[in-house]
Amino acid sequence: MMLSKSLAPRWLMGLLLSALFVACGPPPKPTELSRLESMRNDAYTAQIAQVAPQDLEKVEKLYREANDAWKNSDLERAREYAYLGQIQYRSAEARSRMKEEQTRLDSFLGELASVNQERELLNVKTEGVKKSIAQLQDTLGRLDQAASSAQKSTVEQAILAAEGERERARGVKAPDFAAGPFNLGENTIRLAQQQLEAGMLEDALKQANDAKASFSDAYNQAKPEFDKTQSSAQRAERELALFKAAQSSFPGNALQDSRGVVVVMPASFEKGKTTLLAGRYGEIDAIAQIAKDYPETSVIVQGYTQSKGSESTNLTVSQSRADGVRDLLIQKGVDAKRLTSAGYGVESPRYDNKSKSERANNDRVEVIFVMTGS
Amino acid sequence: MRRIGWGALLALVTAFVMPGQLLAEDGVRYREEIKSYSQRAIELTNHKQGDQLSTEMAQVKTWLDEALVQLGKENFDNVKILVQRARVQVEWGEVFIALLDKRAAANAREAELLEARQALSVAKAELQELENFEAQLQQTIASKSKQ
Repeated sequence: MMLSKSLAPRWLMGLLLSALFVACGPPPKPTELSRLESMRNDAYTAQIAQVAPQDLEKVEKLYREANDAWKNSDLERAREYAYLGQIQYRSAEARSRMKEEQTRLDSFLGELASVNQERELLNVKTEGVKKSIAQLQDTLGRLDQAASSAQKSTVEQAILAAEGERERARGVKAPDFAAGPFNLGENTIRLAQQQLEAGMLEDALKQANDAKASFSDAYNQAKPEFDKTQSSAQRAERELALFKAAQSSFPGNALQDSRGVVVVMPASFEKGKTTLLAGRYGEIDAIAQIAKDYPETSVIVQGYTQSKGSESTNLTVSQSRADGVRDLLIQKGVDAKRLTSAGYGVESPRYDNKSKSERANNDRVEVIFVMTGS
Repeated sequence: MRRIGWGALLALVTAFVMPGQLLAEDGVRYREEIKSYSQRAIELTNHKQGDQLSTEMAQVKTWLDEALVQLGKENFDNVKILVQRARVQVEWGEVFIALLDKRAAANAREAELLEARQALSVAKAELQELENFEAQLQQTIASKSKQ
C-alpha cells in the first residue's frame, strides 16, 4: 500500500500536500510516526540506550527525519522514515535483548561451573567416605568374627559344663531316681548342640545353661535316694561277708536272721556252771576277731540254759554266762561300748531238751552281730 | 516453495541486471545491494529458527522483487526506498536470529544448570546418607570394642 503511494508522481503529491497545508495547517500525524514515538517512549528504551546506543541513535535519526518530513507536510516521507525507524527500533531492542540473554548465559555458565566444581569436590569427599566405610566394615567384620569365635567358645564350654553335670547326675543314677529332670537335661543339651551347629550362639548358650541346671536338679533329686540304696547295699554286702567269716570259723553254727549274723556256741558250759569250758576259748578269739574286722557292728551276747533246774537259777546262770563271754571279748580288745549281754534262761531252746546230750547243747551262748547305721 | 521463490529472485537479478546493460552507476550499486540482501534473506529463512521471521522475509522478498522492477524502469528513487526497507528488515532479521540463538544457548545452559543442581542435590543426599552410615559404623565398632 505504501509502495503504491510512493510510486505516484512526487511533484503531484507535493503540490497537493502544499495546497492542503496552506489550506488546513499541519497535516495529521501519520500513524507510523505516532507508533514510533510510542516505541521511543517505552520504558525499555532506557535499557536499549545502555546496551545499544548506536542502534538507538539510528532510530533517533530516522525519527527526526520522519518528524521533519511530517512538519513539512511530506507525509509520504514521514511514513517511510517512521516505518524504517520502527524496524530499526526493533533491531535495537533485539540487540538489547541479546545482551540480556548473554548476561543470562554468562550467569548460567558461571553458576554451572560453580555447581560442577562443587560436584567434583563432593565426589572426592564421597569417595573418601566410601573408602572409610569399606575400612570400617572390614574392622567390624573382624570384630564380629572374633566375638563370634569367643561366643562359640563360651557356648562350647557351657555344653561341656552341662555334660560334666550330666556325668555327675549319672553317678547317682539320676536316670533311675530323677528321670524327669535328667531327661529334660538330655533334650535341652541336644538342642543346645544343634543350635551351636546352626550358629544360633545366644540360644545355644541359654540351652546349655538350662541343661546344666536340669542335670543339677536331677543330681540333687537322685542323690539322697542313691545314697540310701548305696548304704543298704553296702550294709548287706558287709553282712554277707561277716556271715561267711562266721561260717568259716563256726561251720554249722553260724546263721543269718532278721537281727543279723548269729554265732551259736552250743554246749559251752557244764550244767549249772557259768565258766566257759576250757576248750572253747579259741572260739572267743575267733568271735573277737570277727568283731574287730567288722567294727560297724554292735555285738549282743545272749546266754541260755537247758531246761533242768529252776527258772530263776537258770536266768541267773544264763546272764552270768553272757556277761562272762562279754568280759572275755572286752579282754580280747573289743570295745565295751559295742557289747551288750543278756540272759534268757531256758527261753528259745535251740536244741531238744529230751535227752541229756541234746539238753547239754542248750547250755550255750549266742553272739549276734548287728549291722549298725541306716 | 519459498526456496524456489528466492531462487527465482536470484535468477531474475542475474537475468535482468546484466553488467553491460546497466546505464547508471546507481543501477549497478542497487543491483549488488538487491543481490546481497536477497542472499542474506535466504540465509535467514534457511536458518533453523527461520520460521519465526518468515513473514518479514516474505515482505523483504516482495520489496526486492519490486525493486528489480523499478530498477528496470530506472526509477531509482523507488529502488532506493525499497532497498533501504529491505536492508533495515534484513539487519533486524540477523539481529533477531542472533537473539534467538543466544536465547536458545542460554536456555540450554539453564536446563543443564538445573540438571546439574539436581545431580548436586542427589549427590549431597547420597553423601549425607553415607556419612550417617559411617557414623553408625563407628558407633557400632566403638560399642563392640568396649565389649
